[in-house]
Amino acid sequence: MSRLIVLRGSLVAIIFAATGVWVCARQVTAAAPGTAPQAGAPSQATTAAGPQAADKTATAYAQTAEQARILRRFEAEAITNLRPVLQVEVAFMQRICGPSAEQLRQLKGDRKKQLQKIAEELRGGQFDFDDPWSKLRPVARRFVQRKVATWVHAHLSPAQAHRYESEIERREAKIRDVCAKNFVAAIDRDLLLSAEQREKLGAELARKWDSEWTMGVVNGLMQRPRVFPKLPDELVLPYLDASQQARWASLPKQDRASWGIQQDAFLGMWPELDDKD
Amino acid sequence: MLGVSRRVRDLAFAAGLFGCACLIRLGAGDDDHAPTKNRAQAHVRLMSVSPKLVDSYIYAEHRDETGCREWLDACLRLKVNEIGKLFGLSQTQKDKLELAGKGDVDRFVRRVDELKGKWQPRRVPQAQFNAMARESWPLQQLLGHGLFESGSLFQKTLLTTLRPDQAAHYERNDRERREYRNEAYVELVVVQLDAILGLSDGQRLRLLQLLLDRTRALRGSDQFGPRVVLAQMSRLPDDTFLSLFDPGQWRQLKLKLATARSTVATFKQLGIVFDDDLKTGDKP
Repeated sequence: MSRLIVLRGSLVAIIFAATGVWVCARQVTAAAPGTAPQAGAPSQATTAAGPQAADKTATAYAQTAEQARILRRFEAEAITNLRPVLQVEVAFMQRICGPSAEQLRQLKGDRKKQLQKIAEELRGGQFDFDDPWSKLRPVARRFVQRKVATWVHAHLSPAQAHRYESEIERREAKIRDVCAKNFVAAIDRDLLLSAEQREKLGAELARKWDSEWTMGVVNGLMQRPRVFPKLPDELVLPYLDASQQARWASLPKQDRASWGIQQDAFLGMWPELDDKD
Repeated sequence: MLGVSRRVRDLAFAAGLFGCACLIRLGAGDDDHAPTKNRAQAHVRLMSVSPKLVDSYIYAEHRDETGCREWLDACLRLKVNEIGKLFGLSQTQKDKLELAGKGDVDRFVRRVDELKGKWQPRRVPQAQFNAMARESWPLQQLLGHGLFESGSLFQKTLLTTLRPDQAAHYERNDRERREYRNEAYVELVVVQLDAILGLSDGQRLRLLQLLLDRTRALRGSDQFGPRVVLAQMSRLPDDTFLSLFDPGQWRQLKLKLATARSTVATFKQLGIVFDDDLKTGDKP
């Protein structure tokens, strides 16, 4: 009888233990790397940099706990999203400057720390707690480029630095030209511009192109060809005749197209990441 | 006695372990089966269809037929005035063109109405919904491309209205416009690829020249501009690009081209004809 009691007791204990093991296993799986982070939760990158460090920098700007949370989240998003941007820019710099092995060693440094620093600098002192990314998204890539440029100036020769900067400038100019041209091509369907109008308007817009309009052309027009980025009338109207001006006024326009950080940075493309980096 | 007791304990322990394993398996099994269940549910997922949904797919930002007609009428008036100014057309000629254009609009709206007839309010399985949605693509594309382009009543009337020299002038203007647009798309593809490949200025120029030489505006490709350029690019032999890129860039580009190649079938369904599909002697 007593044996039976012992046996029953062992079985109950084992079942309890098994349930405990199962619950623990599920919790571990849920927290395992590779699972999607919860919205608002700091990413692994932030945790890796040290939660206390993140708190310290965040509270330097934040007035409330909620603001500190927003800042931490911003930094985590910046680190995650700017990593591929930095990777592409560093590869570009290597291609252009051809650094020696020693120069490269100095340049590469600690990628995590570099990203943390970029994230902190990107948010700057003028942080918009209501919509942190709206102003920063279109400039994030240029910000990373500038950061790489400072490393290039610090570690490479003046000739290499000059080569890098001039390539960046040419690339930026090309983006402005191409966006202006695609905008003109899009409105041309509706406004039937002459060749001269196309040329003059295209040149004017390329000179005054604002990066905030870029994604409206690159992604916006390609998905909704009849909804135009809202460019200032004073830039467009001088090149149109009266009937075209009236038509321009009636075209549907979108103030600012909102896309993801990487969509903006890679102009709607997506690089395949080298995880070893 | 002691041996029997130990055996019973061992047996109990083994049974406990087995129970434990079953319990863990059961717990894990819940999760393992979840996607299967979801997949099965997704398989029979029902989607609502209605004529209003067709409006939102095809008329999109114009909301409905009325909005779209207003916009198309404005487009037509502008086009007729522009051509009238360019070639000094009489009012009668302009009226004739406008009538032809309105015929194109009516024809388009009729096609949308026919589609709406098939989309009477009900719930259909996801697969059927997708097939129905695909039927709306050519109409979306037609509207995006423009109702008064080649093949339209407007265009046919125009060519019979104009004198041969005027028609040639018009076609030259139209060709220039299409070339400008195609060049814009090609350049856009180059800067987009540049964003992920990190091209030097020299590479950018060489790639641009290559694409301008080897791709062109395809019939009906306007709405998908840059994507059709990429699809054309994906059909060029690999060795076309090898001298242009370093191994890292080529690795990236190959992945992009593979994705672009998979869009070719869809574009063909939409009526876009690729150069290398043409038999000798066919006109693009």
